[in-house]
Amino acid sequence: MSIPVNAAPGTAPPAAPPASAASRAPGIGICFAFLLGIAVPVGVLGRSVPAGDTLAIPLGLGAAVIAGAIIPGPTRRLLICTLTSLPFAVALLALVLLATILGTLILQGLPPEAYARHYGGAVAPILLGLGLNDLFHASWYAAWLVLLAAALVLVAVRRKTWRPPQWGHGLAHLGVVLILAGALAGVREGFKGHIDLHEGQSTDAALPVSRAGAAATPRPLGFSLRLDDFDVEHYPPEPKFVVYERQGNSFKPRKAIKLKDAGAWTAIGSGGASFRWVRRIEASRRESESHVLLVQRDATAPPEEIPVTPDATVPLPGGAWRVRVLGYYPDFVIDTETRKPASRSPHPNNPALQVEVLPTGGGPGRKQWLFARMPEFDHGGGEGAGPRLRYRYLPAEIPAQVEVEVRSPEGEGTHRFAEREAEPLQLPDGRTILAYERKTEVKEYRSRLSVLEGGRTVREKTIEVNDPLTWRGWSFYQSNYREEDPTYSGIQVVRDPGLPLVWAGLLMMCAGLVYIYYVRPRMTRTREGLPPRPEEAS
Amino acid sequence: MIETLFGLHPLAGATLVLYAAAAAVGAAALVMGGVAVFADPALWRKWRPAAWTALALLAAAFLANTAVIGGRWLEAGRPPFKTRFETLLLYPWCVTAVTFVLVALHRLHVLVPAAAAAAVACLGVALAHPDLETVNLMPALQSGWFVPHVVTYFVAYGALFASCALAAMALAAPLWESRLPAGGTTAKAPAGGTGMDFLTAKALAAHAHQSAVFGTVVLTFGLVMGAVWAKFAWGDYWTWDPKENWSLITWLAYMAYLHLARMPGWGGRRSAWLLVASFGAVLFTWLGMHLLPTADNSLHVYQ
Repeated sequence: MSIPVNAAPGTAPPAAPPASAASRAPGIGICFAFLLGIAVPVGVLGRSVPAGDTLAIPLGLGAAVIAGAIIPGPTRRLLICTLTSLPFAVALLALVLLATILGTLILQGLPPEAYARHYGGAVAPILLGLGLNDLFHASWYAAWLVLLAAALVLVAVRRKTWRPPQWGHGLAHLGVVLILAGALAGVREGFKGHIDLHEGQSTDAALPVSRAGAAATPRPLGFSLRLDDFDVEHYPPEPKFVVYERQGNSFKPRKAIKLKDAGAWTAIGSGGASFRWVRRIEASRRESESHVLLVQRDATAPPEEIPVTPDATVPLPGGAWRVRVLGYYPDFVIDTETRKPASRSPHPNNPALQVEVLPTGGGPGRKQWLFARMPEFDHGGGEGAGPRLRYRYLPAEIPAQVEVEVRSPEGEGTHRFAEREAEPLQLPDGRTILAYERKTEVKEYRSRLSVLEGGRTVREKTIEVNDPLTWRGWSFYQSNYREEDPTYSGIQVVRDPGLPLVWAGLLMMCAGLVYIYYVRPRMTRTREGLPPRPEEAS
Repeated sequence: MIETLFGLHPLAGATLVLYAAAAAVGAAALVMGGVAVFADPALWRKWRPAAWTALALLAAAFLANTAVIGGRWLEAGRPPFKTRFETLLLYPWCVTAVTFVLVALHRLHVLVPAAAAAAVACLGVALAHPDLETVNLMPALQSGWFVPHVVTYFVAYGALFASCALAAMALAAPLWESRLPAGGTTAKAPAGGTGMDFLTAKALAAHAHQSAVFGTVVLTFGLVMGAVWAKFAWGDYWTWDPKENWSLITWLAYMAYLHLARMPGWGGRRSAWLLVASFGAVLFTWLGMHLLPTADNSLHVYQ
């Protein structure tokens, strides 16, 4: 290979390469056209290859390029001149860059029908036809990466990078080749899947991650993996009050006050309101749950509390009316089949009463529904005469509560938030909401795993995120947990024979860049008797 | 205004004021230098104290910025590099650190007002949209790679800011270049003259190139650390996540620059434009991810 190489870049503003090399190299425009031209047939052929092996065509192309650059003939010189030229490098980098941008602008990996929904019937077929729905796995994108690797190999050979002055270029360029080769090995020979285990369970196979819902057959590991123990560690809960203010149609958090700092009055909202934390009320227990009706005889009178029990009839204050409780539904729903009211569970998640209000002197009554969670909703209550009723459900278990004092120009009062899943408090200004939040966030989750071979434990390790277990080329990563299923552990399984190549390539790339820009220039200047100050540029 | 500056994070507000002072004094020094070049050479004497005052203010702002980051680190009990707000506190620190190095190495005082103005912008955005509370680190972020990965990236972003600012100045240099004393720059400064030299387009472009080279090398380290960390945390060194893709796009842009700058006809103004445009990719990778339609699938978007 006697073709002249480009001048090594200094750290000074770059010098133009020798005119002979420049004149033989194609222009950037031609390189763009060439690369785009290659992408079309590769894309078309790549789609027609069965079994979804989108890499077959790109790899064939790469092999053809390398063969063309080795076998003497008229194409050899043209290929080498083109692929090792700076315009080709720039065009290829720019095209991969632009394609990668597209891959972040177009939604990736959705089912085909979703594209028509998102982009319209006219655009969707174009996206799907060009493979832009799964761009990073499209054969034309892979073809560009293969061409990049081929070009980098040719550059490394052409620059004679085995000579010390060119080591940097050899390391940097071949480093990228190794990364791509490692990635290829990972894609072709590697395995990615997952294992779902509960404490005490073991498995000797992993389920592969399948694309586009393809059927997955478990892959044997060659040993057994047992989950001995799983635990989720939480951060200590940090209770706080959060002030939300209306902005347009939504409420935005404006202020967060930790419970321990909430003892002093804090201004909230713009309406001159403020609040302070008063006390925590411990959880308590009554003998049993009870039901109370709040009876309002007219608009001005304060409501009166009347305890009721299901299936009983009680007189209402004033003596003119009685109320009969027709039914109690602790967890009210409308049954989807029968279209009738029912209780989903015996737990008081949505307590509801059906009552009938009857005149004491006899005559027709009115039936109505009352909901503890929606006290203002009185279905049927508007029909006929009689007092207005609201329903308060008093559970047997009273959860711990947090009491605050709220002052506003409209008045002042106290409010109690349930310590868990508290309903927020709407302030009279209509724009401000005070919420009490007590999140428990996951700090870490870990699985104690045992590797068993022939029934014997050969390796034990507790894995957590950032600390996997590796055994015989298989790596097990802690990847999932379920709050509602505390003994479950989700484990990602990866086997990647290309990994050493990738690590070596990444290291070489870094070392090469440092050598090119910071080691080599100093060596040159030292040899020439100059102080090592490459920054003296002008 | 006062509430925004000093309400939730008073020290950060004070830092912003110091950066703003450095930007103002630095800009004034630039103007004086400009007058010296164009009209009254006697002003060469005057801009030196102004340039050094700007640098001293920048140093004070840098110390205050250090205290802001350190304080938050202590308060949160973890490295404060998790949220957009926190990175908006870190970035001015990195830009300023890079500026000090460039002033020390190349007397590039001309960067001081640019760096200070960038810091003001960052802190302004940070204080207009502050974190209401310190959030906990999720398990994946509890790694020894967290600090080196983020800090490496932001040092690279700092150097790439310097390259963008210097390239922009190189593009503007024809405005004053013809008025420079023969030979141009430092050499013609008055006796003992350091400081704010009005540089030629060529010298500014060379410094921009230097910063871009440094930034790109450090960017590569950051990218590699990210890949290694992702492997340990998630089992994959690369998953085509939008933020990963944009870090690749940024890297490809600077790689294209390094190659393009060596082509005939691309060394001067075109390269400078490329550096300015590539910095757009840096900013988008850092702050623009939530704008992407694919952002929902990302593990990296600031909430």
